[in-house]
Amino acid sequence: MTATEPRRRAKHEQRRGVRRRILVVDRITAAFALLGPGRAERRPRIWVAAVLGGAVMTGLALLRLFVPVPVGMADAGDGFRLLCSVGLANERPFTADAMSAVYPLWSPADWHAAACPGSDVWSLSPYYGVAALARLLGGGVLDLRILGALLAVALGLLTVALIRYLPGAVPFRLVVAALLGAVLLDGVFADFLISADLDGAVLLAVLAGFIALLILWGGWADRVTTLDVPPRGVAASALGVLLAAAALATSPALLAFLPGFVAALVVLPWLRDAEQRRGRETGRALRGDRGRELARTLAHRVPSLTAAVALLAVGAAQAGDALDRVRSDAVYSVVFGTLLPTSPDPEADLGWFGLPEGALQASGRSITDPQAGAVLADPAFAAIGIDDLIRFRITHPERIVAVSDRGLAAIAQPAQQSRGSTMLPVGDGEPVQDPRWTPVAGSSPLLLAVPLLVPGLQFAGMLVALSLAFARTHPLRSRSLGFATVFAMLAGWLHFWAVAPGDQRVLSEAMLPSTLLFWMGLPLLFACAAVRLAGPGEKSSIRAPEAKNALIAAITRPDARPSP
Amino acid sequence: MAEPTVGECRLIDRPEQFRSLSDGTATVACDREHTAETYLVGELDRESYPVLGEREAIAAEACPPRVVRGYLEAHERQALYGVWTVPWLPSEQQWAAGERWVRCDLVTVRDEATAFDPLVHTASLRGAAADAARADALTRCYAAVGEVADPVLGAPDETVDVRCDESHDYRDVNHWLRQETAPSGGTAVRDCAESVQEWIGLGLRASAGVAGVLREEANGNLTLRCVSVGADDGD
Repeated sequence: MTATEPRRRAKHEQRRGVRRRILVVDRITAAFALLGPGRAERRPRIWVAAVLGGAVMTGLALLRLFVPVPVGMADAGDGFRLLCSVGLANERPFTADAMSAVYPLWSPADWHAAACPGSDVWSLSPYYGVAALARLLGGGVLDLRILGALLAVALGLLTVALIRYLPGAVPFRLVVAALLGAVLLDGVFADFLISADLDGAVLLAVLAGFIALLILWGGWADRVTTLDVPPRGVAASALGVLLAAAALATSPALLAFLPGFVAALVVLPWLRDAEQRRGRETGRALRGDRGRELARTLAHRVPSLTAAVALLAVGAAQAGDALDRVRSDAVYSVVFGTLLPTSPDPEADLGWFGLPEGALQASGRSITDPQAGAVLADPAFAAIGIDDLIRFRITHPERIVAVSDRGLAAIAQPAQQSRGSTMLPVGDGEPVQDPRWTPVAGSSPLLLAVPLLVPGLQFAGMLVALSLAFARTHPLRSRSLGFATVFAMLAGWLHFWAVAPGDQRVLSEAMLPSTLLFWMGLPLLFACAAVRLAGPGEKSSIRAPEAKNALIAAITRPDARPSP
Repeated sequence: MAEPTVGECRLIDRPEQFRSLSDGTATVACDREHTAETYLVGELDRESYPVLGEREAIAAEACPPRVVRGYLEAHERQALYGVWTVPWLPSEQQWAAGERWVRCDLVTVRDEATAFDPLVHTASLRGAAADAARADALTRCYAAVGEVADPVLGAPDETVDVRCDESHDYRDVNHWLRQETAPSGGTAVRDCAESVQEWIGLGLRASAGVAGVLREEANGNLTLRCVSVGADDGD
């Protein structure tokens, strides 16, 4: 053996390693190409697939909820507040614990004085619309099983829209919709469909918010103001705005989607115009042409800006209403339920909020505790606002790690262990959770065991979604999946940081929208990766309007003529 | 919500209604179905509106138990069973306007040992303890579990607390004596004889003997409860 022999062997090994890596990358790419989105197909075929997919999703949801016996989520008190405010009372034995099992019937009742503390939910929330319909179908009595069936139908309708507005070929759309459906039908989420809680409607609103993002970032409103506007563009845009408004109206939790909606309506036209300019012949425009183009550009933006302002108004109304409703409870639960019990220096924290030292006795106690009474009566407590809580968090950054740890633990462990999901108490009356489809809940040990797995997957998903969103080689319709995923994940993070500092005792329930967005992020990560790796696919929708005739073309073409 | 008056009856039949400090339920005639009867209208001397957790303190301050006994016309030797005092306050708005009344309601429950479950009545409870026919629904008796030979019924599984209109073997005469150790049968009979004699003197029921029920109370104290022996005495 010569002296150069080991070096040659090492080089050989290195080359083999590189070849192996190339092979692995090739195989992954091939797998994604196989799973990939493919080209968009003819609309009738997509519609047929979407309607069938929605019907199957409704069927699966009904199966999940009602076979072999109905399951739901017992009421922890929030459902009572929601429904007593519309004059309903739960029919159950006087001594029955409402948290141990689902008691599905709510009949009309007269509530007096403070017996019904009133709802924390905006009166325009679609939840009340669905509940009213269920009550109508139940002959005046609200049967939560009818409500669950209606929400299953709503899930099916949302699935129709999802399949219709996802990019790619029909099989790809169906796979993505099926994976999202598999997440939503997990007991952690789906049990809330048969419950008096708002959460069932909120979880569907999260899906509606994602679909709205998909539509609004899909460029469907491209030619709304031109004469050759396709009706489907107007319909899709209207559907996107309506879904967005409905999501925002459902719960303050959905306000986290607002940046994505507004960005789509405000930024997308500029993005589209910038891309159009890049592909246009250059030349100096005449003054008259410039004026006309400016007018045309402004006209282009009026519908989307109007929609953005409308959504901002819905968001502002929801936020203002929520702040009015929950200030006192929220401040108490954050300060006395979370901050003080976990604080290294509770006296200093009390001083920061201007509360007397005696208030420390209420630390960790419920708002109905006698110690809380003294705090609630203190004028210093009345002066604390939500803005003070935010300022406290900003000025105490060292506690962020603990807050995020608790939030991530809530995402990793979302099951509501203290609430039953059966229709009747089982055994000794302890709450029992039905185990019929629980991949999300079943993953808790893994998510808890592997440190930073949840944020790691979220960051990976965000990077892949960003890479698709800004892939200029891809058509806007494909990139809409990237943008929608980016803003959905951003919504998850915003919601996470809005909720994580709150009351730790109900954190896993409050965190459900973030938990759902985390789990939705996994199939979306693969969908984005598939679209990104599969290449441009369908033709870009970002192009000059294709006029139906020369006259319309002359009216609508925005291009400036070349200089003579 | 108008200021209440003594003797009003109300049908408060949802658990959530009892989880509030104020109640605006309309009054009903006391010969109609009702669960709550106002036996006192007191006053509360404090500035801030209380929280639910202070209900017991409010009851102690504004709804004294002796007034309940007076309303029911219960004798000192009658032990009440399942009688709850529930205080109700004006609404927060009325409180802010300066109203400070406390409506003290009488509610009876099916079983003291289980969850709160109010009984529905169709007659007023005013003076009910003085009426032999109606007193049983309000007074404490004990049912023996198996054969009992010793007059001191010590083991917890020997007797259970019941209302006297249910099947029973002993009647409580409302004389509870704190003990350091379990007394002998003779001691129990000697200590309880006088109170049982007083109870017999009420003339509501006859008695077949004297005994004591030994119980470890919730606060850990050992107590001898004097009882009159006899299941359906006087019936």
